[in-house]
Amino acid sequence: MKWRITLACCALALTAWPQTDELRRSNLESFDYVWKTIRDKHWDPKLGGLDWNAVRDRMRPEMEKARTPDEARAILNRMLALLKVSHCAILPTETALSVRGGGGPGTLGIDVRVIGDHALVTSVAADSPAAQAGIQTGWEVVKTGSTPIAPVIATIDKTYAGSTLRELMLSRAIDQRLHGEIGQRTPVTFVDGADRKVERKLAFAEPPGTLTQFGYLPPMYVSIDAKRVRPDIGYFALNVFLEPARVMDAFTNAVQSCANCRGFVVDVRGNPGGIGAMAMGLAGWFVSKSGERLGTLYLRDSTLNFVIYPRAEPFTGPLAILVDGDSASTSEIFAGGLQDLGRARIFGSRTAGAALPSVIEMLPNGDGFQYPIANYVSEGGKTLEGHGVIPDTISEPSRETLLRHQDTALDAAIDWIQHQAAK
Amino acid sequence: MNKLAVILIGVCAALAAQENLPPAAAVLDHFIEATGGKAAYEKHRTQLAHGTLSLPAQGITGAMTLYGAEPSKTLMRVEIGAIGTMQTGVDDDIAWEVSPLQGPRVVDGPEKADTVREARFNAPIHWREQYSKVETLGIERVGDEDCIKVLMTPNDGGHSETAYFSRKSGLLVKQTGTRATAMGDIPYDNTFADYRPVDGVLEPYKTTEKAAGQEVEVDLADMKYNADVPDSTFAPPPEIQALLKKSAPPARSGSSPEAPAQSGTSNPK
Repeated sequence: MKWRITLACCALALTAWPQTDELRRSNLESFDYVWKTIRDKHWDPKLGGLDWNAVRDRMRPEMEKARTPDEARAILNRMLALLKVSHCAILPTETALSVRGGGGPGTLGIDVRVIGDHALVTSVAADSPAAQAGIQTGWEVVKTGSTPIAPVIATIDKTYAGSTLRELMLSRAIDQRLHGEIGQRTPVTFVDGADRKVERKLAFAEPPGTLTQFGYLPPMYVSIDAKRVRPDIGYFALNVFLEPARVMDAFTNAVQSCANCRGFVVDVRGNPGGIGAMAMGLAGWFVSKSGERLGTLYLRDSTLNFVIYPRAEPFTGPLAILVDGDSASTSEIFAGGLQDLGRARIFGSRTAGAALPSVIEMLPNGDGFQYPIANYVSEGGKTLEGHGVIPDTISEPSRETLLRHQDTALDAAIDWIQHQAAK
Repeated sequence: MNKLAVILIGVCAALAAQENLPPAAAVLDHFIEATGGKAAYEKHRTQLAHGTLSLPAQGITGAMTLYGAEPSKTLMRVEIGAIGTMQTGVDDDIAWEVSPLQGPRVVDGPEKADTVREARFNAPIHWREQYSKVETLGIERVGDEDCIKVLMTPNDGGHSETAYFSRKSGLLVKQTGTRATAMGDIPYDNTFADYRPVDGVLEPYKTTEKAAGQEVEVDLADMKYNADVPDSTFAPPPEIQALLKKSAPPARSGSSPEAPAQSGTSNPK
């Protein structure tokens, strides 16, 4: 199941706090911290031509008047939005404290993607509340609780029309409505395979995987799916690039136990990224030549190469990587770099184009502040930010294929591996 | 006229200041004395320290253990809960790293030269072996202290380092330069503070490094010399041994270890 980093698009807590001297002071300190950090650390010292002093002069007085934490965050997020880059947002305190933004950590056990204008179930986890209630892939989610989904899609669709971020933002908005407090029940209305409206009252359950926290990132569940999709084809899916000790061990086992396989599939669909260096670590299992790079980070004062360190016995057979519009950041660095090196074939749909390496720091008011520290260019010279990774084989699911329980991207990858092996 | 006077006064002041500057070799030798003297260093054969390594701005902290031994052996182990155990080591002429993020690697090229040089045990007393040229650049204020700025050029072709020694205490306060890494050359700015006596030698218990837009702090909790640190501590781990074995040139039949074969060439004699 997916587990996404909750960014500024999450609904913020609407608690009304009276403005106090302490709140005002910490808001202004936070404003100054954010403004100065961007001035001093953004990889582009010209900030894309933005007059950053003028931005401060205009927006600091607004911050002085902010009456609630929500108002303060909205001002900071408006200021950061002027930079027009990903990975630049305020993470509310509530997010950091409550495991995830929106409803809570509990999951119904379904992944949903917006295909066309429809929020379709793309996977149902075995033994999950959704599976127990008979929910099927291809069903459309039309209402969660009392909230119809169509207006949510329409609003985000309008905001992100033409952007590679559209799918990611749509997924996050809907995913957030499909999470809640563990044990709590919520009604969800679907359109089933026979075009009938059905309502199911579902209980939120503990997500699969292990709960982990890295720095000021919100705690997240890391789940791994390592298996054979054919007797001679390995498969490894990862929902987020975190918890490296466990993930890299599992990856090592998956690759080593498949040393004689025909091919290998790495599935980063729905994976929003995480620790960037893990992309290099995974890539080391598929590259034999020293000195190969996934791409280059351009910081303000230096340039860092994303170098791959080949393992002693890497896997040299065909490699397929599955991506979709929810694959972002480290997922894009991994897939885009290996695509440029000609080492992997990419299947699925265009990625989110949100690939700026970033850090998260704590503001004086307790909120998290995520900002990009570098621009990233893949080994083939492509700027992934705003463009994404374009698969070699475009393979979008449709309602019909989902109702038939087909995974078109995975099927295409398996066909390709089998064809490569037969050559 | 007034303007000229100001310029002349400035020039005179600068010349006076330059005249008062000690030669770089004297500054470096004074550092040895200020931290305990050569004899105190020479009593030490091994080193063991514990502490923390953190990126405070990002809320990341890990427990750190540092081992060292003559002549150039180090092992640094950092355990960060959410990441795992990161290890870097030098076993005289083999430098290596095992990271749960990027995997294992053998350090080579310019990075190896920097790493092996930095691994020299009792490094301060061996500066003459390691640097072909040292020169005093001037006086510069670092925090609250006037420091003598010394440019040090290593004899292995590596990057030059600029060291700042307190005029008052003689201690190393700051060091800047560019470090060769596998990911490219990275400018760094290190500051050293909280010097404490350890078995006759003053050691900085706090080091702060600024590099690649990040700030990393190392805070030592304890350190001791001549601790029981067996040589096996520094042996590269199995995954590094596997990489070394893979990169070793294949043995040729008939060749002896004393006379390694020169592939593709014939002996002109």
